[in-house]
Amino acid sequence: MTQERIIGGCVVAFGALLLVFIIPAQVTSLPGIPTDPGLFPKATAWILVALGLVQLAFARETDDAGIGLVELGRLGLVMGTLVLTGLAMTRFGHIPAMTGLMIASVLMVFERRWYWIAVTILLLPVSCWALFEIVLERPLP
Amino acid sequence: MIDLNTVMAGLGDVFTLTNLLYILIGVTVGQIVGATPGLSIIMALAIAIPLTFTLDALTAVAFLISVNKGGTVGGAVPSILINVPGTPESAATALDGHPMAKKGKPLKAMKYSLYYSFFGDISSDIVLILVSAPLALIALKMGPVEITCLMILAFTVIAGLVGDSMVKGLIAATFGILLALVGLDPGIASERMVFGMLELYDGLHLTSLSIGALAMAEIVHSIVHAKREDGPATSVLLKSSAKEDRTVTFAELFANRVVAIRAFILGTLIGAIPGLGSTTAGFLSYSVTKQAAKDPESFGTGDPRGIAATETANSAVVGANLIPLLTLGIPGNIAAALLVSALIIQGVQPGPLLFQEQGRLIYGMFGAMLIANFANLFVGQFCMRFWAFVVSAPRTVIYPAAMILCTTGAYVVDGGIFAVFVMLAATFLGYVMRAYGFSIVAFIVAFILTPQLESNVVKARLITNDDPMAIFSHPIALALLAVSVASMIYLGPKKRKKSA
Repeated sequence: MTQERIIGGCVVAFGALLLVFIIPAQVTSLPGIPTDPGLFPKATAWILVALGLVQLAFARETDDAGIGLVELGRLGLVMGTLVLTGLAMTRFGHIPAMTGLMIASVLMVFERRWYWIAVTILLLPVSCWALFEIVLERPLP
Repeated sequence: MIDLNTVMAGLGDVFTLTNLLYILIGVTVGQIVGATPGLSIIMALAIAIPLTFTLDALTAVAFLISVNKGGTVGGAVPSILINVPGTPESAATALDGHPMAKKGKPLKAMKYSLYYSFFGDISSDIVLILVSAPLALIALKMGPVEITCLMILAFTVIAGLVGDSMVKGLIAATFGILLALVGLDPGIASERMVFGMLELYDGLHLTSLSIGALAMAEIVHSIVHAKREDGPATSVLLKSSAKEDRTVTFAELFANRVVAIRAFILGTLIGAIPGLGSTTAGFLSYSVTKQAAKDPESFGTGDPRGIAATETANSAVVGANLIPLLTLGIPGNIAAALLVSALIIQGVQPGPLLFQEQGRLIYGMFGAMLIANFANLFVGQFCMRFWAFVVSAPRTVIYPAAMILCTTGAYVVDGGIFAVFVMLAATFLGYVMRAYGFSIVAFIVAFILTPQLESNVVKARLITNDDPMAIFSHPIALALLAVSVASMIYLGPKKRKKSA
């Protein structure tokens, strides 16, 4: 129940952040005209505040486990690897970046069978590159 | 609205070697993905969208629909053989399919599932073909006020039906609306929440967002939860001694006709309601069939009626869930939302005008759906025993392969590395939303509908001179709003009670 109330609080805080800082700085408002660009962002922010308050007040316990510390650590590791792959794609090219991602993946899923490791690391990046670059004729870095 | 020439030309368009080949490939890919535990149809569709980038509109749509149809059939294989649903849609099939396989009749169970799936699929496609054009005609008579109210209704129904909490469903939908507002506003083209980034002027791309939130988030979830002791699943042996344990006769299929027809009706009705899907249809149909049976105790022991009820119903959803999309432009579930993504890539905007503007394409799509059903039957008939090997494929190859396709797909479709980072942000968002029980369906559907909603709100304000009382001169809009309120009152507390 506490977790559900914290979620409600976070949604209210996010809605308030939108109303106080983000929308005034990032949206040009022209109140009074039907095509006011600020109407939808403001309405959305107010709805978030209202729904967050409802969640805060009436939240019931659910089966949602949330994210534990160990899971958060592993998630950070996977997401970090993916971000590095994205950066490496433009710097070193598609095949080297994806080979790196595949090495990280087999380590993260605890694969020990050498033939599957070989297939994943050597075959997948090249096959994917060939599919997009040669078959579909879409240029890759 | 649609003349016979357009219908015939559309249906004729599908009979090209390329289209037929893509339907066959789509069905095969779908069945393989469905048969692979850990991969979902949604993941397959999200990954397949970038592959359709270079195809023409009809081929692309035919391919994606075939993947969807194939996945529903393939999902039953691991349900039957290893009691692990290949896709959530086939979870109910395991209740009687696996006991039948354990009795030494795995092939018979798979054939029952294939034939009833074919029946459910083709029947619901026929309903779609018959009702969508007349419904679109009615939808065309609605003005901006009515359309705005209809979208509000869609949000409340989807938020109420999907997930455990209506409030969380509505928060997810509101967040989807917020992200759809990024970019230049449609009225006076001023910047909205672009944070000085030129790449955001066109807004966030649906494809990157859906690949990240739907496919990549699921893959990352599986990798994060991978354990050292995870190994490939052990399949039931396909050897059956007697011929009757390997084949299904027409008389055996016909014996369950009442169950199959009831399941088809249930599946079609559930499919036509936005927010509900194949999983609900499968379980509901199973439960109704068991309750209606004179011998409910035989269910769960390998009763063919259990397979007929679930497979017919979950396959009937596939065609019916396109009814709200083609008539109102509202994607009823994630598969339909991904189809919207593919249509938008091809420059086609779904909605009631679709029949007027793209009639030939739509009837071509209907033709492709019908052919895909027969392709499903053909591929399933000959390849089902091979899918038994796919069931034990190592996840250590499947997940990295899916990950590499998602990353490359986002790069290719949305033009560059920025799209990859948008996809990664959506992956993180999808992961967190899933962990805390927020509906990704509501989020994606809201993201898709927002541009249409905003444009209709502006038009409605102009028509009514900003007078809120003007709603009373629009009875349909008023009725739709009343249904929205009723759905919030009815579905909201019910969900809370369930989760309490």
